[in-house]
Amino acid sequence: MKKRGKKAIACALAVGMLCSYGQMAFAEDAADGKYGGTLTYSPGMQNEQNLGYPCGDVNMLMNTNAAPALETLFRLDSEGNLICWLAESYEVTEDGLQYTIKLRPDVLFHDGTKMDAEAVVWNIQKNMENGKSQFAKIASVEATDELTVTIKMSESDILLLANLAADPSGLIVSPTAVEENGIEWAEKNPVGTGPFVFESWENDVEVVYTRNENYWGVDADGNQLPYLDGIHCIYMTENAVAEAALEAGEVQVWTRADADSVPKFEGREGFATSKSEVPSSNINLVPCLNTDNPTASKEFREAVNHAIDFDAIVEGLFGINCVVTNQNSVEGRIYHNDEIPKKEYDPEKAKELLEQAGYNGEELVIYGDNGVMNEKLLTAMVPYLEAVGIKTRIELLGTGAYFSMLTEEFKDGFLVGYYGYAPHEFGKMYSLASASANLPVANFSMDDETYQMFEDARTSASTEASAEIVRELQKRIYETNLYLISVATTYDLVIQNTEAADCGFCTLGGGRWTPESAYIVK
Amino acid sequence: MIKYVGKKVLVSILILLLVSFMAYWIISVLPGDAALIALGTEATQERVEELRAEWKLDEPLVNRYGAWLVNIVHGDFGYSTHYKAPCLEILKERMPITALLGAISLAIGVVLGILLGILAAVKRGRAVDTIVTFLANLGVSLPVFWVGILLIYLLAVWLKLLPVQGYASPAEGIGEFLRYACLPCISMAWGSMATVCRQTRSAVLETLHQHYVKTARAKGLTERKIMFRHILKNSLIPVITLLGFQVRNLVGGSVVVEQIYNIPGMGRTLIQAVDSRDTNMVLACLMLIAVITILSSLLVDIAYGIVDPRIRRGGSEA
Repeated sequence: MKKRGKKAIACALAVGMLCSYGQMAFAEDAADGKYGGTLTYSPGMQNEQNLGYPCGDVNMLMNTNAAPALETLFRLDSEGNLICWLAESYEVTEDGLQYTIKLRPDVLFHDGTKMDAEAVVWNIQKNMENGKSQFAKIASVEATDELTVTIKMSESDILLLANLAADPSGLIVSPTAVEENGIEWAEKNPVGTGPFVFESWENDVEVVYTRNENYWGVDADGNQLPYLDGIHCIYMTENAVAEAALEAGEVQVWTRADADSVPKFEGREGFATSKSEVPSSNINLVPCLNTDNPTASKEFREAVNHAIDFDAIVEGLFGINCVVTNQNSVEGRIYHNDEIPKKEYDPEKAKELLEQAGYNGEELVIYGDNGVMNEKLLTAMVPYLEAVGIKTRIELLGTGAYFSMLTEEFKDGFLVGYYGYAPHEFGKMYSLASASANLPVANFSMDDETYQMFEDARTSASTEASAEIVRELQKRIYETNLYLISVATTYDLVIQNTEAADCGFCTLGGGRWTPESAYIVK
Repeated sequence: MIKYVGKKVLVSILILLLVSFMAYWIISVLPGDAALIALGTEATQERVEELRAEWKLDEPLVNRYGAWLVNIVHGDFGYSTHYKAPCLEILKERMPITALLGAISLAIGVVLGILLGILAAVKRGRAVDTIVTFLANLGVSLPVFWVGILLIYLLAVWLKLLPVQGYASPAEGIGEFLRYACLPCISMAWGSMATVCRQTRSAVLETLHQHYVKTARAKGLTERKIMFRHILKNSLIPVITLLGFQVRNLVGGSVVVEQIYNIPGMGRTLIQAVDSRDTNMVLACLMLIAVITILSSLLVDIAYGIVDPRIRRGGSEA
């Protein structure tokens, strides 16, 4: 028994997605006006070390900066719905143990070779060979005909399709290009099926793409995509320079823009600011649970949760792109548990809880990685904690020291931890906090029942069943046991001039965007 | 003279060795695992261990330093984990950019600094002197970063005369190169110009009151001859010393300027390498900076010995 309904929804969404390209086009003539020009954008953060070999060691930024050249079988829309992309349709058995993916015909890689089932199988197998946890539950993958890929699972895995859609490891590259030129070459030369062909990459400076004349996609009116002649990505690490480049018209879009820059452009003629439709990450206070220190006590953690006026801090300091959260999700998403009570600022209750916890005035250390947001956020927490009698020290660490703290040296206090929303909040929480986490946080663990819920949610046969378990899991983690204190969810910001249209930055899961539909307003 | 130069070269080599060990040691004791930083927290423990072994991070510090030093002597700076290429290859591409921009900045800074310094000294107490001195004081007080951002807003955003950021190599056309090089070079030259200007002004003022200048004037030499034959020749000795420091400052300034203007030079490479704990690349950049600094100091010492034989003799006697 196959899930035909799911297939129909996915394909309808795919058609809808392609049709959406035409939203700005009122007639075919209008589409003519979209052709030409180069879009220049800044990804607004540090660069990646691998741009073209998703089966190797990658980071999430690859999803954004390789997007013009590399595509995935699926995409995730802003609400987490799956959209068929290089896949034309898919079916999954009732028990979730077999996926059959039908590929779009006549799609070519930039090197002229066919994007067929063999190529997709090669990509998935390379990921499996490299021990990618995203593909850990795949037993075998094979090409059952030229355009059909069959994946057999050792256990059902609700994350598989989401990972294929929104994790960098889901990007499909040309096996021929990799095998002929080697992995080191492939890391610097993305060869995919995307609307733009890779031209050059100066690591930490820029990436240049030119139009793919043989792209498979067309818009709602049947016009050949993409519209642009090229895409230019410039890595700018200084916010002041990115602002200046926007003002001077040297870049049209600044993604992951600094929140402090938004008010300078908001409402100004010729500029537009927007918040991503998909949340970026959830900030948590991760307690040190396994050593003899105050955060190991649930009453102490509850006291901290009540002592801080999170609403005042988050709204006052980060209102533009941040919302207070009481769990690893935000309202309106399927993994959000509405039953978990909202945060309650109550210093008196906090004092009572501290007494119950037997707190003796020991200094509380909160460790975080060294960033402007953490500096503001944690500094703002200190007076609240000290007002209820918790002597607090903040330690902001460089990347290296933070990673060491996370994996080895965490022996007391809280650590600021982030759970991203790619592929979605459960997917990331699973890979970072479950018993199967590749690099678990030192001295942090939850009870077996909670860990089992992670596995049950992942191996559920349907999204709905999985979401139900995840909602219960949220309650266990963020209320019943208060293993983690959720602080806020952040959203990426985009500042752009109004010349750039239909770029789709921050509208898809995993930081992906829609380079094929982007155009320059003339 | 040969003995003097030989001694200076020997001391320079010792300093270089010391710098190399200090740099290696500091990089090694910095908190953070390069393999973990490169792979991120979602990597498997096995993969982290594998990469650690591949990069020889588990071997003792002395062994690693020794092997690294031998390789350096053979011209092998190792493999860059961030750039995924041999460090030497990356530096060959990026060092010339820093060197070219630095040389232009140094030339601007020194020439304008000396000219303005002389002008201020000669016109001492007048409006020109006040303006030049004010600008020079501003130049030594303002950080390169701030000057860079200010110039971007003034010349690129408001006046739209120059691009905000980027780099064009001279091979793309001298005009295009100059258009992109203008702001970074001014940013870097600004501080040097101010320092050289202040030094020149005070040295010229001091020389103006020397007996030999008064004697020259009494002998009826023209002011121009006095300036070029007696005042400048003697005033510029301290300025030569300053040039060595300026080269060092420019190398340091390039780190900031290249980061601001998005220039693929050695400074930007160093920052990226530090961020991603790319030990080989950090050390290659640091060694190159150390060599440039030591070499410039050596050249200044030698020039000093040539210009003022008393120093050379003192050096030989010591």
